[in-house]
Amino acid sequence: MSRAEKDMREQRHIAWLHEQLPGLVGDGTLTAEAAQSLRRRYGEADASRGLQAATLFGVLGAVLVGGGIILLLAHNWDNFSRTTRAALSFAPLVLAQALAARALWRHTESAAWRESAGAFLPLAVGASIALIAQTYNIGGDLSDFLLTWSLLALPVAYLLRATIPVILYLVGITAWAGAQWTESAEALGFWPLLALALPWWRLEAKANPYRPRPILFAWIFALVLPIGVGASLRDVLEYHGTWMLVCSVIAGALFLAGRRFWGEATSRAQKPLQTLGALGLVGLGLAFSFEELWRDQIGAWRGGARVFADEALSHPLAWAIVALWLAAWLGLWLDSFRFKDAARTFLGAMPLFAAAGLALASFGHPGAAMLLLNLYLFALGVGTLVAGVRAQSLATVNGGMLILAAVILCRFFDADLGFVARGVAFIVLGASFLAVNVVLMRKKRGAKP
Amino acid sequence: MTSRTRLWLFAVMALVQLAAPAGMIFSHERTLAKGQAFKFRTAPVDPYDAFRGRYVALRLENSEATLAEGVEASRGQTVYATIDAGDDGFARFGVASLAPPQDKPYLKAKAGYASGKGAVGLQLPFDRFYMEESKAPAAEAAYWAHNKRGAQDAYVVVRVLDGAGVIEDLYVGGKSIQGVGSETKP
Repeated sequence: MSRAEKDMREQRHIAWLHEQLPGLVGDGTLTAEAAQSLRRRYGEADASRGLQAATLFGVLGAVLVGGGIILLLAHNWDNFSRTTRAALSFAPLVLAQALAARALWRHTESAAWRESAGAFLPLAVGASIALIAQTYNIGGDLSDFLLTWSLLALPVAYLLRATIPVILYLVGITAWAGAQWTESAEALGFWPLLALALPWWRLEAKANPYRPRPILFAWIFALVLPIGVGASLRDVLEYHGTWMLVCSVIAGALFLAGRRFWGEATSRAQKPLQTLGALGLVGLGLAFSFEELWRDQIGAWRGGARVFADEALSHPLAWAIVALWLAAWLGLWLDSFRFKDAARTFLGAMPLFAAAGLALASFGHPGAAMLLLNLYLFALGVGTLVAGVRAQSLATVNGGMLILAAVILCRFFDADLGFVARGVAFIVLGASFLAVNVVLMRKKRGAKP
Repeated sequence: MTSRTRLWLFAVMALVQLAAPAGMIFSHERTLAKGQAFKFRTAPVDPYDAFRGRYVALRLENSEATLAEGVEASRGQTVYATIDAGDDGFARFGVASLAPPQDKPYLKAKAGYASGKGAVGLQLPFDRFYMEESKAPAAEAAYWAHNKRGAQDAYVVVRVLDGAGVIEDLYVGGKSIQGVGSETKP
């Protein structure tokens, strides 16, 4: 039996399982939760491989044709009159709209049709605006063009329930915000623009958050977010050490949200927010484990609440967005206690340690701040390691090892610390490592009958 | 979503998508048809930045305006600069203010960095002139040749209406650059 046939048969079984589940729940064989986890485990029946390939090839074809049209128009044919150019700028657009209409009414159930037409229409919109910009020598920067393009493409995502337009939109608004970096007040528009795309995510994730479409959105969302933050919150991030707190809070919120809403994901690919959030938290923690960073913060907040209030009033919108993220992180963090998962709550608590570090450094103890963050990372590494050993999960064990190795490597090359201090610290660390190891071994041996 | 609301939503989306380019075409055509023509001298462009494949990078020689009395313009703020035609036939910017002037032709632009006392640089939208891909390099070379210091005889004709400006053509050595581009081609 070939692999394709095997897949087909598997898909048929999954389809059968989906048909059976409501009955099994009805007669009490399975609980509703168990049925839901079975659905998650085996995915959706309609996501069969054949259909997915058709969608991918359709999208690829649409993107190639759309890109080709843009390139052809970019040649800027000399002998075309302005009337011809006007007609040319509408032709691909009308064609793409006709295809989108056909996908919407004739092939509503076909993901391949909806995604292909949904990829083609935004490209046609872009080609149309670009040709007009050429015809009339519209100069200036790219940002107005990107914003117009993104906003015209977004409705396609909602109407056709298509993924490509919303991905293009996320990338487009981020590029726009990046191009606004000299005018940070305008770049704040990134947030309302981002909010426009969130209902799409909610709609797609409502039935099953583990489907490829909401997951793909989540990956792109988590990847463009840091760029958007850097471009739009520049004024706030530059205010003393605020960037340390803001970045930790956002990474923490992503990680906790991932654990909260995608907690039962079975593969790494299904965990965009957890993965990128955790990477962000550990990466930031490592950056904060150097004393140099904290020395810049000595006396930074000496001005007290009054000076801060003045600062907040001078950039009220930017600080409001920071406050929203802070509230989101705090809510998710407090919520994480319900799940009695120490590793999750502890990693999610990183912003608290960053805040404590800022307070210590501000009062003139940068060394203490550095020590605190190092202890945090060390505890995090050991905790992850232990949790991995307990759960018999090699990936988690390796994660813990990686965190520890990174901290140790950072300290070994940390020229700010004296050789004696480093030597003593390394010996203490090594001894505690050995002790932990011995304890674990004994436990394991004791657990065996 | 019922099929009827979907139809309406789709129609609205399609119309907006069509209206955006149509509106761009309409406003630019209106300026070209009804706008007043001004000649602006062009200036040498940083050669590293000049060639971008399919357009000639432009810079106007004079892109500064005097600030109206008591007016301060921060970078990025929208200003309205009057245009005066000089005795030599070339246009210069006059006074920049925060509201459009009533009696004179003017251009709407964003303020650049303040330059010197009472003057402001304008971020003008005239920074490129699109050419056919194959002709752009030759046109670019011609533009440079006619923009050397001391031998500047290149200029753009810009049509201006209600604060909007649209480039009509680029002239080097008294001839439209469209011709220059094709002459050098065998």
